[in-house]
Parts: sequence; C-alpha cells; structure tokens
Amino acid sequence: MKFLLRTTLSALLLAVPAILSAQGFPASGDNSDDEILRDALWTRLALARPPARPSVGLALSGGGARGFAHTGVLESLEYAGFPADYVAGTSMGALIGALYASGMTVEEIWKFGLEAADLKVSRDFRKINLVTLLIRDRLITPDHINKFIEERFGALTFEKLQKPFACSAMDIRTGEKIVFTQGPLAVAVRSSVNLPGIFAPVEYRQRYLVDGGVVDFIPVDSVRALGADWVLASVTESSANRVPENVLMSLLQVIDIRGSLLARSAEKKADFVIKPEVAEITVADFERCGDAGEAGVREASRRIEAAKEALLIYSVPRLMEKL
Amino acid sequence: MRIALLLPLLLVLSAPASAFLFGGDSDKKALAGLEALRAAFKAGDCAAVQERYDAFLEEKPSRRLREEPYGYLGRCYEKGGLTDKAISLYKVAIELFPANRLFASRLGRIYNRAGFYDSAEPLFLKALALKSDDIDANIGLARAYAGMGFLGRARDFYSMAVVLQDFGDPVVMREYARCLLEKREWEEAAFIASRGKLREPLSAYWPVNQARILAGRGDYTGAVLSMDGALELEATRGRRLERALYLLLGGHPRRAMEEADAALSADRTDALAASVKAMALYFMGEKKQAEPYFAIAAVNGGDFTSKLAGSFIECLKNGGMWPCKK
Repeated sequence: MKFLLRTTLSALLLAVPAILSAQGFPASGDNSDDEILRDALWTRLALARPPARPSVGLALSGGGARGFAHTGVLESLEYAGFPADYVAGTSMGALIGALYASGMTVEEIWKFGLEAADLKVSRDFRKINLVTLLIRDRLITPDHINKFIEERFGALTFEKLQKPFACSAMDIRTGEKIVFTQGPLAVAVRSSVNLPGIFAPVEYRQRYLVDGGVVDFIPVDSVRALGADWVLASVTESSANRVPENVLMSLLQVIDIRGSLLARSAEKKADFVIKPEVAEITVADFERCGDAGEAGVREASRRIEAAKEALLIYSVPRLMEKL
Repeated sequence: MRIALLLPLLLVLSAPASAFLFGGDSDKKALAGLEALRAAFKAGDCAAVQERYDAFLEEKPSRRLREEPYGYLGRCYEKGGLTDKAISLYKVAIELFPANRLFASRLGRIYNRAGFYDSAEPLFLKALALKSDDIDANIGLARAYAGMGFLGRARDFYSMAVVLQDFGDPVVMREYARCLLEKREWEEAAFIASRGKLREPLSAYWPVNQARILAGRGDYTGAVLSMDGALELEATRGRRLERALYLLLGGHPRRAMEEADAALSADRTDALAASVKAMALYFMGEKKQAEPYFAIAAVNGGDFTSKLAGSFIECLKNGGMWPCKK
C-alpha cells in the first residue's frame, strides 16, 4: 500500500509542470459559462428569504464524536452563504444542531468541540466499564453530559430557538421514533444523545427515551416535516472496519452499524448529501473532535459548488417568478 | 614553563583538527567553487550549476559550505522539471540544515503545485516557525489551506502575505481577492479590490471583482456599473453576459435580453446567452417564448447550464407551476 502511494505521488509530482494551476485560487478571473451563471444566480439565492426561494433544511446525523464533523460542514455552508431555514439532528447531530439553532456561532461551536476532550463530558464515557455495570446491575446516569446540556439549554424551549429545530429519540419500551419539535430543549437533546444499553433511559411524559440514532440516524423526514422544501444531509457514517476491543465497544459498534444501515436508506431521501471522511473515528473518541470538524470542512468545501448547483437547479424557476 | 611548552604543541596539533572540523585548504578551494556556483545560478545557467556543483563536491567541502549550493541545485532541478530529484535533495537538506527555512518552503511549494496540500502544510508551518514574516511561506501556507478548503485559515495567511508585500504582487492579490469572495467577506474584499485597482489600473480583473462583490451584497445596479468599467478596459463575451445577468437579477429583463440577443446573433447556439434570454422571458411571464431558448441552453450548455435549463423545461411541462419535479 505504501509503495502504491509513493508510486502515485511520484507520478503526480513528475507531472507537476502540467498542473501548476492546482495551487491556490486561479488568478485569471475568467470563469467558465457554468461558473458565471452559477455565481451570479447564487448572489440572488443567498440573499433571498422564503417564499421568494424554496426553504432549506439541514439534517445532521448521529455518530458520537464523529458527529462533530457537522461543525466543519456548517462552517463551509456559512462561508458560502448557504441558506439554512430549518435544522434537525439526531444524537450528536441533535447537540450540534441545537447549539446552531439557538444562535451560537459556528466559531463558538468549534470552541466547544476543541475543548470536548477536556470537558467532563468524556468522563461519562470513561465510566463505561463492564465490571461496574455487572456489579451494580444498573445503567449509568451520564451526570456530566446531563449537566453540560442543562447548562447550555436549561431555560430554552424549541419555541425560543432562532431557527425551527427538531431532534429524534426512541422510546426503548415500544421502539417508536419520537421527534421533539416543541417544549423544553434540554430533555429532548439529552434523550437524543442517550446511548441505549449503557446510559439509563430518560424518563419523560411516560416515555423511556434513548438515542434516536437507532431509529432515525439521519432526520431527513423530521426536517421536511418542519417545512423544508429542500434538504441537505450531513452524514458521519462508521466504516465499522475494526474488531471491538471489549463487550461495550461491541455494543457501541452494533448501534453504529445499525445507524449506518439506516443512513443508507435515509440519505436517498435527501436532496444533497455531504459525507465527511470520519469513519476511522470512534463514537467515543472525543479527543478527536477537532479532526472530525476538520474532515467536515474539507469535505463540505470540496462539495460546496455541487451543493450550490443542486439547490439552484431546484430553486431558480421559483426565484425567477419572485424576482 | 610547562605551559609555555604545551601551548605551541597544542597549536601544532590543532591545525589538522581545525582542517577536519572546518575545512582547511580544501575549503578554500571549495569557497572558490561556491563563488562560481553562485555566479552560474545568478546567471540562470543551470547546466553550469550542475557541472560546478559536481566539481565543488570533489573538493569535499565542509557541511557548512554545502548548505547554499543545495538551494541552487534544488531550484535548478525544479526549473528543469526534475521534481523527484528536487524533492530528494530538499528532504536531505531539511535534515542536514533544520534552521534553513528555504528548503522547507521550496519542498512545500512543490507539494502545493501537485495538490498535496497536507504534505505542504507542515513544511510551511516549519518555515514560519523559523521566521513568521517569511513571505513565500505565508503565501505557500495560504495556498495549502485554500486547497484543503480551510478558507478562514487561508485568509489569515494571504492577508499577512499581501501586507508583507505591500500589496505589490498582483498574483497573490488576486488569489486573496478570490478567497475573500468565496468567504463572502465583503468589506475586506472591497478594500483589496480598491488596492488591486491601484496596482493594476488597466486590468479588467478588478472591476469584474468589484462587480462580484457588489452583486454578492445585492447591489446589482453597482455591479452593472462596475461591469461597464471592466468592458471599457477589455470587452469579452463572458463579461457582457455576466453584466446581462446582473441586469436581469436587478429587475431589468429587457436590457438583459438586448445583451443576450447580441451574443445570440453572433452564435445562435450560445448556451449562456440563451439562458439569459430564456430566464428574462420567463421572468416577464412569457414562458412559452422562453422554451426554445431553454432548449438551446439544455443542448449546448455545460453541465450546470444544461441541467438548469432542463429544470425550467420540466416546470413548463408542469404548466409553469413550482415545484417543477417532485
């Protein structure tokens, strides 16, 4: 593999004089016809508000620490002036989505992710110990995660958010998908990030709620139900290409695989999908939130022009009528 | 007395040691060789650089003297397209002379050009750790970050580079301007556009850039005026049609159509002109008349132009009702 990489690198480098334009931004300023049309129309779409243009929803998948890649995706979308009228999230996507919908800047969300390794939140994951679970025969209460969520969202309700937001959880007794769109935000986010089989279910209105990733890994339907005409999904899938070290990691990986299988069918319902390359980051790898975020920036930047084009193709007939 | 005897003895013994450590007669010859190498490089004679480098090595110069020729030879390899040789040489040079930022910077530059931005990034960071106002390293790092998609980071290093260059390098200014446009950082973009215009008053690039900034802010009237300025300097079909698009988006479909008609009379298969005309007609409610022009765009346009026209055609099939396709 290394040999192959080195050979490819050498071959490409030998061709360097032919691809000089690959560095930086092109300095000529002469765009292609496609670029002229796209960039001009985008200026209008980026400034328009519904109903002058179709409404746009973001669906942020689950994925634990991998889900921090959504922050990088949000950064690239913001730079591009990509509209986001509605947001829905599951698990880590619910946490990032709630922070975003509450008006926190992407820069602030980055800060939270980069400090995640030092936050006490990861202690709840370190507490996951099979012996303790067996001796106590009781599921863990993620005190630090709960505290973190309470501190940030304690007084907030869905109604007070700056953008309409939905997040998904599952009732562990019935297997039903529960989509929160109103009421207190903290309990909804807490339920959505609540790993089943490890953390105790969140009791709320006669429901026993756990992570929504098992039933709604990418909440495309939820964001459409909020009113989005066009949906961009940010998906942080697992490759599951590793042998779990212990029983608990096996459980996490099973949940992860189940989520990824769901993702494959759900992403077909989205109008555009961005999949940052974060497969090698595990659910509980909170030390690597920064890497996940960077992977989000890279992938979203690589795909941003295609995303703009897809939205324009869908929107411009409407935009021309409401000009 | 003993010391008086010992001192001359030590001096005698130290002579070969100093020759070993710092080069002696050999280094004197090597110094002359280095002068010749330097002259050949300054004259741009890479064949002579290679030749004199071999002769220089025969003198077995000290490590200290080998540093400078590595730089000359590496750049000659680059110039001659011997990229793999340049890479090998720079890699060795970085190990031998870790305090010399030139080698890291040049190697980073090669990686940037090949699109290996991840490999370039640490090299430029290393060069900047040695000297934070190294212009080449700032530019190189900005390009690496731009290539990786980190526009925020790229912006910071482009900004530093243009200030260090006192806004004097039009290529870097243009790259920075493009970065700011993509980042939609309008105020800084407008400032750079004004400096760029001062630097290159006869180039149409800067009025076009200014028009794109104004359009990004929704000021289509200003964008059209800036495009007028660009067209006075250098009129091209693309610029005329970009101006037509700003006219359309600013609510002047008839004036946009005039421009599109002019382009279509020169080439009736012009997909961009057909798109402008079709959208103007569509906007004015003359949807049936728009259809043949969308058809021209769908058949002759690039991928995006063609798909966009296809979307309108779907809409027209749907009785002009949006959404065109569910």
